[in-house]
Amino acid sequence: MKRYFPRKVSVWGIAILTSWFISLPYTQAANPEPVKIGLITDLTGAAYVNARDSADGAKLAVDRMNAAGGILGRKVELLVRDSALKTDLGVSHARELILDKKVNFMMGPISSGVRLAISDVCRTFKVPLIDCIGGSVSLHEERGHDYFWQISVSTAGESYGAAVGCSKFKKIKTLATLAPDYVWGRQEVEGFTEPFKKMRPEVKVLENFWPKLGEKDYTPYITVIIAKKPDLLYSVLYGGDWVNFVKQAKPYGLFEKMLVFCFAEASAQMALGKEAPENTWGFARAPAVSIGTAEMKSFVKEYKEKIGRFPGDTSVTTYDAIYAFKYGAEKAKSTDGPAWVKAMKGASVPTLRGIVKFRECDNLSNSPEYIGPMAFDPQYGFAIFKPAEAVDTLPIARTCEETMELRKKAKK
Amino acid sequence: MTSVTFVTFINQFISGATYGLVLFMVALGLALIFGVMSIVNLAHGSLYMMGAFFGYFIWFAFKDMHFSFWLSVLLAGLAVAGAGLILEFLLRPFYRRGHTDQLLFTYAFTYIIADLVKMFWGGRYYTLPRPPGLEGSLTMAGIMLPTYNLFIIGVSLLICVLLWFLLARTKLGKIIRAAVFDREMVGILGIRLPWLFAFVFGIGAFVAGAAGLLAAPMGSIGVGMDAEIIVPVFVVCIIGGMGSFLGALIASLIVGEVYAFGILILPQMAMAFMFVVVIVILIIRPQGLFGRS
Repeated sequence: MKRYFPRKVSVWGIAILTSWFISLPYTQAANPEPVKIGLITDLTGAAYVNARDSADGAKLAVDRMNAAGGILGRKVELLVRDSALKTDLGVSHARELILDKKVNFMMGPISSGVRLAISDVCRTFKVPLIDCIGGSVSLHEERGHDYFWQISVSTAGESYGAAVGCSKFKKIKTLATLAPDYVWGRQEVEGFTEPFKKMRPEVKVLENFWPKLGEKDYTPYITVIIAKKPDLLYSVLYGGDWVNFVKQAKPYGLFEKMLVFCFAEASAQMALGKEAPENTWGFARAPAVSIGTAEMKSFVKEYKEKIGRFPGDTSVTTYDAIYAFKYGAEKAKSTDGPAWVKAMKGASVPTLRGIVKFRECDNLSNSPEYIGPMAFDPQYGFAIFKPAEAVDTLPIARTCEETMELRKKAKK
Repeated sequence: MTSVTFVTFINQFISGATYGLVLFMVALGLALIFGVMSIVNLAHGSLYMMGAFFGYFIWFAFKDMHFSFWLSVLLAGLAVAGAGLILEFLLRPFYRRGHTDQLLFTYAFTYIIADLVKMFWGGRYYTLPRPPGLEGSLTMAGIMLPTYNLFIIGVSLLICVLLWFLLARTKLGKIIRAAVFDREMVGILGIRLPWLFAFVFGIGAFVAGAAGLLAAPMGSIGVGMDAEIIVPVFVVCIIGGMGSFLGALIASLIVGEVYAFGILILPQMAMAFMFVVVIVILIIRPQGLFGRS
């Protein structure tokens, strides 16, 4: 039979293959698998701006982290998916990221409803999910579990912060509320009025106004609000709705007639620019340019340079969530879900907003809500908090016993 | 319930008229297109949104000039008229099909246009200041009236008069009115129907595009403004009678005022009042106030 390879070549070939096979585990150790973080967010639909800010904050966090050596010496890889405010799409992305892409950690979308569904998937597969948006309290109360972590304030915490802010105005005797007519808007108003009535029982609520989400014409509301003559208007309109309201209310002189306490997320302030009204106080989850920590200042500067605009609230909270993953992984010396959860119980994590402590029983963080007077700042080109005061929102949260009781009832 | 003083009444009336007449500017194109071509154009709200976006960027390019706003209204209207002509050309195979196919086609277009807008201009909000001279308010007998709202009322009524003149006093208007009643007969008489359809579609798109920018200084420009406007505009067309120009005007004022006074009387039910009117009119006059049975 004809020899295709000379004997010497065959021997050398076998030797090379054998040595490659033997060295394989060492090669893999030198180039370890990256730590994968999944971000499911609502890039399509009404929540686009917040979702975009969230994704940009995440990208900056990952870039910075990789430049500093990653997590446990492993490179960090970010996988972004668009859930488009749809629960089925969110669940399908969560399963794909966990089962196919083998992500180590997850961050959840803008919509509380989609987040609830993703949270259940993460529990099943023991993948830690950090809620970097905040929202419905049921996420960490009756539907909460060990793999769900909250690094932004809930709806209840947010409206409680606003109530604390409003209660400071002792001359106020009457108020009106203005909120978009859907679950979140209703929860915000309820979460505000209940604690506020306890803080200031003498204040009378004249009317609750519920324009539809995406209302184009607020003038009929504006004229009625002015006719009611409340001392204070509590508004949770956001995004384009708040922009529309301000532009329509200014010619009527509404902002000169009453104090307005409004949801002051950065994206709407940026859109308003110089048109931002005077005589307003705001509340927000993470107003980046108004938080004075050194870490935040460096973040804002780099974000502006790399992304080309100032960060939104969700840019900050998503950035913080990624660094919380790193903190827990380094504490656990592992990226394994159960080990990470064990290491993070009751942990105090450094964030852009300062140290954030997670409650041991339900992983709820003591993230603050920021309140303060709003004023246009030519340095930024939009209205910012001057200054921003951090309000501790844990006093409004249910106790650990109450939360556990709720979870027990929900299981039944 | 808020006590209704004279000042409150006038304020609500003006705000209702402003809202209603913005709806009218969009609805009249829809009514005209349906009347002449029997096309239910769900993408009409997208033309309104495109007008706002085109106009914003034209305004931005010329913002240092005194007349930038007025130039952008004109150019945005023309640009949207151009887009409308493309849409009309693509719609031609659907003229002889049923309304279901037309609805599906134009509905698909709303998504395509929304994605194109998002691709080119992103999902952020843009705001346009009121043009010089129209920023403030007029105070008369203790009533504060924003000058821009009064301007919107005036310009809508002017468009209304111009269109009435076109339809009632010109030869082209007579042809369009004839086409509303019997377009086949108009075709038999030697009128080139494709040209007529393109003209009508172009006019409707022009007004919708200009309305998009005219409404922008009272609010914001962003993805989703198409969907927000199209529902009340359809309500106007249904109440007025699909295809009726006068019906669109009366219905837009009814919708605006019902909404404004609904908020004054029972804010929780303001939206429902508008649809109660639709139901009542559909029961009494299924063809709408001025529609043909």
